[in-house]
Amino acid sequence: MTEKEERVLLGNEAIARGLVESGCQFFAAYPGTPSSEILPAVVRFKKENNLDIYVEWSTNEKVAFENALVASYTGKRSAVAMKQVGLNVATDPLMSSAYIGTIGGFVIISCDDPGPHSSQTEQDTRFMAMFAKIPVFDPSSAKEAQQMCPIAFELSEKYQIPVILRPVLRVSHSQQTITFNPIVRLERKAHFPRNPQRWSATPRFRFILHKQLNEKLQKISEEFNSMTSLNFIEHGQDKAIFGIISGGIGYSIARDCLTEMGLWGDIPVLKIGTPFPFPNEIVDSFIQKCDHVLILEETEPVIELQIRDKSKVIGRLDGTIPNVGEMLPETITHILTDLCKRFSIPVREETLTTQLEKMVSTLGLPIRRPSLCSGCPHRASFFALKQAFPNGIFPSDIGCYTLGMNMDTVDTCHDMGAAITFGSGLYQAYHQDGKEVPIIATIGDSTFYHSGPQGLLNAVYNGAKFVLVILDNSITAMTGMQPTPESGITADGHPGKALSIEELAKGCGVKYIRVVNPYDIRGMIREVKKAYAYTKKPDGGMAVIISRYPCITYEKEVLKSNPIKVDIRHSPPPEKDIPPIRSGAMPQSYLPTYRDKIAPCTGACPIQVDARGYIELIAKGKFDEALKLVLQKNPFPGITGRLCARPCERICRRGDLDQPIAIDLLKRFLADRTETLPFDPITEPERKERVAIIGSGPTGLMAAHDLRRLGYKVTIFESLPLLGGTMAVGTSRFRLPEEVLNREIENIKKLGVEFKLNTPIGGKYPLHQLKVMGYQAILLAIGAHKANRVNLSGSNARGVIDCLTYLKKIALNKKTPSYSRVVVLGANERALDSARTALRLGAKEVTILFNRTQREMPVDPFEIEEAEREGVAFKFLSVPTRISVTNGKASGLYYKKAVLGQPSSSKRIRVVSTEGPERMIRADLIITSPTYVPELSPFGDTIAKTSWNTVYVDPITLSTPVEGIFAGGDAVTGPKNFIEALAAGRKVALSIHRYLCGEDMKKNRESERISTPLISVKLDKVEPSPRVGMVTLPVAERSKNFKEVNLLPDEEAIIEEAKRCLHCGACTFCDTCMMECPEGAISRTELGYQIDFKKCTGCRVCVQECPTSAIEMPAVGACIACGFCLKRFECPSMIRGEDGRVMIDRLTCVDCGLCQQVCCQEAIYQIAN
Amino acid sequence: MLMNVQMIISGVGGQGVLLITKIFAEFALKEGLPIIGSEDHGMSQRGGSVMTHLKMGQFDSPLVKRGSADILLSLEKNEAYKTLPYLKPSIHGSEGGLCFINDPDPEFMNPEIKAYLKEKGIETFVFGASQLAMEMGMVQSANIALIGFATAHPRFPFPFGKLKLAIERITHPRFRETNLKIFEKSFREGQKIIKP
Repeated sequence: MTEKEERVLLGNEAIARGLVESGCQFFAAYPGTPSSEILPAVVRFKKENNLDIYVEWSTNEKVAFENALVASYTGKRSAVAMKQVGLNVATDPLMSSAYIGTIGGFVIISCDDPGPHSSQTEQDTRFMAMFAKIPVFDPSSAKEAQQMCPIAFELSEKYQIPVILRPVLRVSHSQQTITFNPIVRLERKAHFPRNPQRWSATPRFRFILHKQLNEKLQKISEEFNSMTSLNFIEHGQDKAIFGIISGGIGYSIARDCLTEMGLWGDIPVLKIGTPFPFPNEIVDSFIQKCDHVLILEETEPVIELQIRDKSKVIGRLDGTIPNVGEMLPETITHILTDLCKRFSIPVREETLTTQLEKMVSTLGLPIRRPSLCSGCPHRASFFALKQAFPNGIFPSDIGCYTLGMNMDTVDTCHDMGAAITFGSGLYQAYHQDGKEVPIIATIGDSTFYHSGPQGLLNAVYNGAKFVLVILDNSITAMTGMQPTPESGITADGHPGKALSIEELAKGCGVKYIRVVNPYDIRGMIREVKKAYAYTKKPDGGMAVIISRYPCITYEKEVLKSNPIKVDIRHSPPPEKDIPPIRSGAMPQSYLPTYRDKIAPCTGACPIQVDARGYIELIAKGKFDEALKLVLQKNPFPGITGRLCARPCERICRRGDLDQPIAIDLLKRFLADRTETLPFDPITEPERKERVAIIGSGPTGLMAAHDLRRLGYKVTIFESLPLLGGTMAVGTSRFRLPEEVLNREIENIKKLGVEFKLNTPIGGKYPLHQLKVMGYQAILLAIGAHKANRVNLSGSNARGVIDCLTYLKKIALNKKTPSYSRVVVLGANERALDSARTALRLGAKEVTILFNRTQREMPVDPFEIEEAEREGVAFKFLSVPTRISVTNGKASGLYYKKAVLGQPSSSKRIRVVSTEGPERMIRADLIITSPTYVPELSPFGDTIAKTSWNTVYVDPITLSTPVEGIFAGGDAVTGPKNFIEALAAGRKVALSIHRYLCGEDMKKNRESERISTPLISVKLDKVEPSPRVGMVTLPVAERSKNFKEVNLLPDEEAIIEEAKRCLHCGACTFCDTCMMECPEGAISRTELGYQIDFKKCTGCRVCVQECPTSAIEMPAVGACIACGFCLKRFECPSMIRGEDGRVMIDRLTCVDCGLCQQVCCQEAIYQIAN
Repeated sequence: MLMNVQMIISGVGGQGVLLITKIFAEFALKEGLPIIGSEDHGMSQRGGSVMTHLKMGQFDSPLVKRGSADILLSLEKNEAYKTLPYLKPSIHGSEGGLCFINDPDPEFMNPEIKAYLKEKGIETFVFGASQLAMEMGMVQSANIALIGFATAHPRFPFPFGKLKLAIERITHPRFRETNLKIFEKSFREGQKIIKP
C-alpha cells in the first residue's frame, strides 16, 4: 500500500479536497470571508487531477445557490459556498430547496464568522438550517470538514435533501495536516427528469412536500443517532458528576483544554457533528448519566435549545458561556476550572496572564487599525469626496472601501448593495421635507455586480437623485483578488464575457455616467461636483461616477512603471524665506486671516466700479441697492452698459473657465429698470468758483458731475444743438437710444450744471473771454472730431464721407441723399455702425471692405454677426487702391487682394503687400474710417499741441501749460473708448478741484489706477455654466428704423448670470472654510468667520479650499505637524515622527505620489527617481 | 520526532509572518508531525497587526491559549508586547517559553515587563533581524533572520539543518541563496549572543 499524500491545508482547502474526493461535479460560489478560499482550491485540485468539474464565481450567493441547486436536479453532485451572511442573500432559494429536495447530492457550505472578524453579524448558520429544515454538519476541524463532505453528499442523495456544511472561522481559516483520500470520479451525465408537480409544485403540493420533509428529517435524526463517526462519546461513564456536550469547534477546544488541564479521560465528552435534525437519543442518554452537563458550541445555543430537559444544562442560556464572540481557549479553560472546583473535581490552578496584560496595556501601544493599502485608489477617491462634500452623507457598502470610515467618508455599511438603497431612501426622506443634502453613495465594482443594479433601477424609477460613486478597482480585493464580471475572466478559465459597469448603469436608466481617474484628485473633485450639480437640476436625476483605477496591491506593476517618489520637507525651503517653524507651534502670523481683496474686475475698471459688489446684490435680487452701488462711481450706468469696452470682462476670472460674466448687461439691467435714475442731492456746500467745460461728451459730463458734487458752479458749452458728444453724434441710435442718453444727462442737469447749446468756444468766443466771464478753470473736453485726410485717390469726390461725419449728419437730422450702393472702409465699431445705419436708411447693398480677416476685426464677433444678419456684406483681405470718380462723384472703389505678414511680437498681423488684379466694386457712397484728431484751429495758439495734433497736457494732472486750462478725453488721447473718456473726466475734475483749492495737483497721483494681483480663484471647484445669451431685436423689426438692437435678457436670466460671479477675493459666507476645517476651528458669527487659534493647526486647507481667495496664509513649504494628511488621507506609509512631523515609511511606500496632492502646506515634493 | 510545540508568530502586515508559518508547516510535514494553526489578521492588508497561532504535535484546536506558548517570534516590538501574554511561564519546574523579538535596540523593553518575564522563567532575546537582512541585501528577509537567530538557542526545538531545508524548499528560487545566507549568518550571530 502506497503512503497517502499529506499536505498542510487551510480548512477551506480541506473542504475543497473533500468536495473533490466526493465526486462533486458542479461548484458555484460568491467570495466572502471566511469562505473565499474554497473555490480556488477546487480549481487547483481540478487542474492537478484533470477533473471535469464546472466551477463558477457567480455574481451573488442567490445566483450561485440556484445554479448549483438545479445542477443537482440533473443528477450531478453539486455544491455551493458562501459566507454566513451570504446565505441571507440565498435564503429565498434555500427555504424552498428543503421542500423540493434534490436528486444528485447538494451541499451548501456556509462559513460562520464568530468574533466577528470580517462580517456584519455573528449569526449561526445552524439556526438557518433549522429554520429552513435542512440537515447541518458542524465540523470540529479542517480534517473533519474534509471527512464530512462525502457523508453529506451521501445523506443528501439518500434523502433527496440539501445538506449544509457550516465550518466556523477557526475551521475555515485554520491550517492543518490533511491526508488525501482518493478522488471519486462519478462522471454522471446531466439528465433533468421533467416533473412539474415536483419542480414547480403548487401550494397544495407544497403541503405534501412539507409533510414528506418532516418524515425525512425524522429518519435523518434517527440515522444521526447511530452515526458514530460524527456523533460519539469519549470516556463515557455510567455515572458522572460532570459531562460535556460539544459541537463543532467546541469539541476541539474542549479536547485541548482538558488535555492541558490534565483532565482528558476524566470527564466524559459527547461530540455532536450533526446538530440538526437533533440526535435526541444519544444526547438524552448522555445527559441521563451525568449530574451536570456543560454545552460547548459556537456561536448560538443551538444544541442547548434543542435539549428538552434543561435542568442539568450549563451553557449559554444560563450565562456561563459568553453570548458573544469566539470561544477562546483561555475563556473555556477558566470556565472548566471554575466548574471543576464547583463539582469538587481536582484541578490545577490556571496560568493567569492578567498581570502581564495589564502591564502591557499601560504602555499605550499604537493601535494598528486596519487601513486601506498605501497607494490604494479608494483612498484617493475618498479624499476627493470629503474635500468636495465636507458636509455630505456617505452611505457605503461592503468591501475594502468600508475602511473609508477612517477618512470620515463611510457613514453606513449595512449589507451588500445597501449603499444605493440607503442613498435613495435618504434622498426621499429628506426630499419629503423639501431638503436637499449631498448624498454620495460609494460601492465597489464587485459589490455593484452583486446587488447594485436592483437598487439603482429602483432609485431611477422612483426619481431619487444622488451621486453614486462606483469604486472600480477591477477586482474583488477584500476577499483575495477574485475576478469581477468586468474582467471576463472566469473562476477556472472557462470562456466568459466581459461586462461593463457603464453599460449596466445605463441599462438601469441612468443618464449621467462619467468615468474618472481617482489618481487625479482635483479632477475627481471637479467631476463629482458636476455630478452633484446634475442631480440638483430640475431635469436632473441619478448621477453615476465610475472611479476607475486598478487595485495597486493586485497590480503592483502599475506604479512601478511610473513611480512618483516623494519626500517631506521638515523646514521651509530657502526661497520661501521663512524661518524654521517649531513642530506644532505655528506663529500666529502664519496662521490664516480673512481679508477681502479688490476684485480683478474692479482693478481693471478705469473708474473702479465695484462690480463684484453690485453683482452679488443682483444675485440676491437687491436691485435698488445694486444700482446705488454703481452710481457711487458711475453716474452713467445705462450708457456704460451699452458703450463700455469692458476691460472688467476681459480680466474676469470666469473667462478662464468658460466665459466672463456679462457685466455690461447686468449694469444696464439696473439702469433700465427705472424711468429715471435715483438722484442723490449734493452734500458739499456750494462754492463760489466757476468752471467752464467745453464739450458735453463723456469726459465733459463726468467732470461736470464730479465738480458739481464738490460744490462748484459748472457750465458746459456745447457747440452742437444736442448734448452728449460722440455718445449722441458718433454712435448709432440702435446702439444707444436717445432716451437712455437723455435720462442719464438729466441727472447731471438736476445737479445744477448749466448747459449752453450751440455755443462753440474759440473764434467768436475765445477762451480768455471765459476767464473774463469769471470762470476760474476751463476744461477742454472737445473730443476728436476732425478727420485726417484719407490717402486714397478720389477721396475728395462727392459721395465720399468719413464715418463720424456721416453718423453726425444722421444724428443731427441733416438731409442726406438716399444711396443705394454703399461701401464702408474699415472695420471698427463706428464703421460697422455706419454700415448698419446706411442699411436702415434704405441702401440696397452695403459692403464692408477690410484689409485683413474677420479674426483681426477690432469689434466683438457678435456685432459682426448682427451686421451680417441685417444684410451687411463683408469683403475681407481687400485693400482699397483708388476711388472711381465719375462726374466728380464717387461711382465705385478699386481694391486688391491683401497679402498678410507673420504676426508680430505683439501678435499684430499687418498687410505687407497686395497681389492679383485690381477689382472694382460699384458704389454711390463710400464711407471711410480715417483717424481723428481734435479740432483745435478755433483756439489758435492758446493751446499747445502734440506732434499728433492732440492737446498737450501734463499726463498726471491733465493741465495745459496755460494756467487754469485743462484738457481731457479724446482731445488729449485721440479716439479712445467711452470708459477711458469717463475716467479722464474724473481725473481732470480732481485736478481742477485741487487747483481751485490751491492744493498740489500731483500729490499721490502716480498710481491712480489700482493694479491688483490677479487673485487665484479655485476654478477647479467651479461648475461651468455658459454666459447668458444675447437677446436681440428680430432682424425683420430692424428694417428702416433705429430701434435698439441689443436687448436685455429677462430678470431671471440676469439673476442667474449674476450668480455665475466667482466673487474673487471676497468672502461670500459660503461656509466652505468652516466645513473643510478638520479641527472645527472655524465658526460663523454675525460679523463673519472666526478662527479659534487654539484649535487651528495651520493645515491651510481653508486657504486652499476658499473658492474666492478671501483667506490668506502663506504656504510654509514644510511639514508643520498639523496632522491633516494623517487625519484626512490616512496613508499607512505616512508616519508621525517623534517631533510630530510626518515622515514617509520607505518600507511600505509604493511611490503613488498621491500625498503630494494632499498637503496644503506644500511640504511634500517629488524627488528624482 | 515526537514533540508538542505551541508557537505564536506576530508582526505587522507585509513583514512576512505568513512565510514563517509556511516554513514551520513545511518542516512539520517532512517530519510527519501533525500541525494545526490559525492566522489572525482581521481586515488589514498592509501595516495591520498579524498574528499566527501554530501548534505542532497532538493538538485539535487551532488557537494557542494565553500562557501556553513555548515560543514567541515577533517581527515588531509593539506587536511583541501585545503577544507576550501568550508565553508560557515556568510552573512547577517546567521550562518557561522562549521569546525572540526583532528590534535594533536590544534594551528597548520596558524594564518592569522585562523583570516580570525573567521572574516567570521566560527567556527574552532582542535581535536586529531587519538590520542583518538589510546588510545582506534583502530587507524583507527579517523573518528568516529572526528564525536563524532563534535556532541558535539550545531549547529551540527545530534543528538548524532541517529548518534550512524547509527554507530552501519554501522560498522563491530568486531569493533562495540570499535567504539561506541570511539564515546562516543570523544563526551564527545567535550562537554568539545567546548564552542560556
